[in-house]
Amino acid sequence: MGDAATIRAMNRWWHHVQHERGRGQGASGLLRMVWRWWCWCLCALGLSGALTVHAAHHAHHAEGPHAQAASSPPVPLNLSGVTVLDEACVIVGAGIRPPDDEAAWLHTTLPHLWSSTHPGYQGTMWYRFRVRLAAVPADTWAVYLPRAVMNAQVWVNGSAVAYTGSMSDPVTRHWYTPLLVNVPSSAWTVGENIIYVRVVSGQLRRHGLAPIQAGPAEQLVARQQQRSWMQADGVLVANIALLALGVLMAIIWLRDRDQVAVGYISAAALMWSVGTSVMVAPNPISPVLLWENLAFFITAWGLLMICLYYYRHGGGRVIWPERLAQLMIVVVPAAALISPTTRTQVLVYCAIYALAMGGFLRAAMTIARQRHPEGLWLLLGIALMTLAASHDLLIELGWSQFDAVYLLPFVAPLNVCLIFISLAGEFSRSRRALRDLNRTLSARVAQREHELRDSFARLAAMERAQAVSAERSRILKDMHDGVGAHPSSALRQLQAPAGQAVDLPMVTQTLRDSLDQLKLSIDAMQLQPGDVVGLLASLRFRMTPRLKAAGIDLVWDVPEMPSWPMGTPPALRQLQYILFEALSNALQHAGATRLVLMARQTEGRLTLSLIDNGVGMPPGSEQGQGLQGMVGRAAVIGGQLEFVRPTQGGLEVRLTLPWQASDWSGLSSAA
Amino acid sequence: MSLTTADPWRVVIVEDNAHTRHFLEQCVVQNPQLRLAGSFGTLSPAQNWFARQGADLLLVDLGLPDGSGLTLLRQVQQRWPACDMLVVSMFGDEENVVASIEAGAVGYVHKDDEATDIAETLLAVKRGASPISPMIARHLLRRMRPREGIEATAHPVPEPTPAVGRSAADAVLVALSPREQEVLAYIARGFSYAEIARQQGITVHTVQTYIKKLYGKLAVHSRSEAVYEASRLGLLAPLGPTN
Repeated sequence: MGDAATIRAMNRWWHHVQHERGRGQGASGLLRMVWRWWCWCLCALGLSGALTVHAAHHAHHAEGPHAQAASSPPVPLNLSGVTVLDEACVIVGAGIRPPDDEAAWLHTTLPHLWSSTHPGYQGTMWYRFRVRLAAVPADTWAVYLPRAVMNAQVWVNGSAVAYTGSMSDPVTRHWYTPLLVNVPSSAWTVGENIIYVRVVSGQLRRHGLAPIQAGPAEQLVARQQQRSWMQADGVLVANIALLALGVLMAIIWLRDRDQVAVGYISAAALMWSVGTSVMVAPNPISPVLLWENLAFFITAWGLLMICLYYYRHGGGRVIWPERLAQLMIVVVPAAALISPTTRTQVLVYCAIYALAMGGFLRAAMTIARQRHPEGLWLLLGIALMTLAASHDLLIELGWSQFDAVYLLPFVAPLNVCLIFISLAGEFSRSRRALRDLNRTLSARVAQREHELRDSFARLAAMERAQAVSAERSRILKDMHDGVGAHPSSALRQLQAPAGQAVDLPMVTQTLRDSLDQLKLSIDAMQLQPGDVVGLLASLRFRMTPRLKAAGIDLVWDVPEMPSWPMGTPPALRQLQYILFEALSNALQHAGATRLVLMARQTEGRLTLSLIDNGVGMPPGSEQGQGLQGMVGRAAVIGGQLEFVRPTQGGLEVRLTLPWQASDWSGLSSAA
Repeated sequence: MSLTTADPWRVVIVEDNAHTRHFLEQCVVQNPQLRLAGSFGTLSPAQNWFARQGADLLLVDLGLPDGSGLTLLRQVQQRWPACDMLVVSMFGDEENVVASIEAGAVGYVHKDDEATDIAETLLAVKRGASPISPMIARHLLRRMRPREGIEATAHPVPEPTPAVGRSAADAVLVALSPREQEVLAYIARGFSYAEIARQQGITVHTVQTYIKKLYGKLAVHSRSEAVYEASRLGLLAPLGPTN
């Protein structure tokens, strides 16, 4: 009932969340608060349930064994139904046969927990039930022991009725097995009958005897089968299913190791199924102490893995709880071996419970934040696990009914099932998303490609336009500074004032200069950047006819040089202007017979010298417009132009340029 | 015809500018070793003329009113391989000169050259020489690669860098001999024929013949490129043994 109400509440909350999604960020703070409230309520619910049971338990266990009851009258048995026998006399110790009536029987009310009357006691206890039969039953009767820890044997009227496994070490582990013993009609007598139950202890269990039942076998078999399903067969089926799920999820994890949470839950499933199977197995295949410990710490590991799963569920890591869980994986077996007592086990279970609650809370908060539909399954699992863990912890603490049935053997596999459903949901969601993505991806890629192509085309067009524009400006500047100036000069020279003769050789020279400039300009356009040698070579080639006409011998002292890093097209053009001007001057004014063109690249400098053997430069002519223009052009490209008068006569026009940008400052300071 | 024969070289001029044409005609007429065989202002009469007869020298302008001089160069090259062709260029710029050489021209003259220089160039071509500028030499060095297995020359030469977009055409390489490579490198650096001859210990004439051979190779190279490109584009059947 409680669970159904919880699930209904959860569904209502979920629908509320779905409805509220889209209402903006303002609502999310409130939602978070509600969610936290809900989580705390869940924990409180589990604990309050536990405390209620605890209170009931204390009421129930108010009585211990006492001497008064040895003479209490026999309990009449209902011939047509089942009679529950919870009043008994008990003797601690004694042999393998029922003690005499004269022995020191003490009265007790079942369930009788050994730990509450004889803490730490290991051995045998005999219980005596005096019953009265109005008639000998016609059909087969039975005695049913819902819980007798570790094993029990039934005697009726002084004879052992049936074999229920070993009663001496190693005792058959029937701690969680409901025992049903058939009693033949011949064993009963009319009037008083005595039923003895001999209980022997085993390892590490809460020993005791729950109220027994006597009655027609047919009716008791149904009860025994029901309990047997809950405590043995059902657990086995659940464990087989859990094992299969564990293997399946281990495969998923092995294929994708990044899914750490899946790895944890698969480990949890495998460990839990093995641990609990070992725990309920009646016949150990190893020494009992080892078997018990094995069952305990494999189960504890399984629980720790569940904790780790919930801490990892939302992605990311929560360092301290994870470290604690990992530490406990090591500590639990050690503690179980060093101090193999039920108290150790209970302490471990309490610690794991606390750890698990933290994990549940964190996972629940993540689910609320992510709001995936699959989260609902996980929330359901968390709620069930919280309740079941609280319930089972109370049993372990001894605060619950002695013969209570553990819930986790069913709820834990169910929870793994829910996790698997959620995982499958996430998987199919991812697949759907991938399919949708694939469907739209090619279209989007095509669109992006189209956009990129357009963008590139635009960029290329812009670059082309820029290049064309830059080239156009350069050509215009060229035409303006060099080529264009000459025809207009020629025109002015031809339009000499009336009466004054036209200086034809001068006009011819001007036009020749114009053509040469034009050719050099074209050469400059075709030069590779930095190609100083190419520039000098083309200059020589263009000037050769004029040098030849002037009868000047040119000495070519130009070694091969690497590309000049500073030789941008405009810089090369400036260089060409300067050298052309210098050569023209030498041809026209120097009266030289020999010219030397020398190029050198040394110590971060590019030095170009034009040396003639002419008349030299008249004093003051450095201030002339032509030479000033050359000096200005040299300065523009970071160079320095000097007019050196060699001792042997003539003139050296020396242009010194920085080889690369870093040499520029050096040259300036030198200048 | 040869130098030993007394007959002057027959020259055909194709130039649309009347002044320039007249100037060129005068250059030819004034030299006794040359004879003006024909002079045209447009492309088609020149084509008709060459359809009927050949010449020893052709001087052609590239920019003609009814077409490109390159068309005529290709036709004459095919029909009259003995005819040496020169282009009349304003600037001797790389683009036009290289295109002309690829079409079969063995040189060029500038429009502003002296008359005697032009006549001398024509005669020099007939003697096996070809004019070349350092800019053209640099272009050729970039374009051509030395034959495989030829060691680098003792003299530094500009790094031959393949021009952009030439990778497919590079499949057909022009085989330059080491000597041709060296001569080209010197020209590219601005040295005169005389200076090169002195340094290499050869005659100026030999230097000049190297250049003419180079031009021939470039024309062949450009035809190979055309064939290669055509077969690559599927315009021609794949190259293979023919019967």
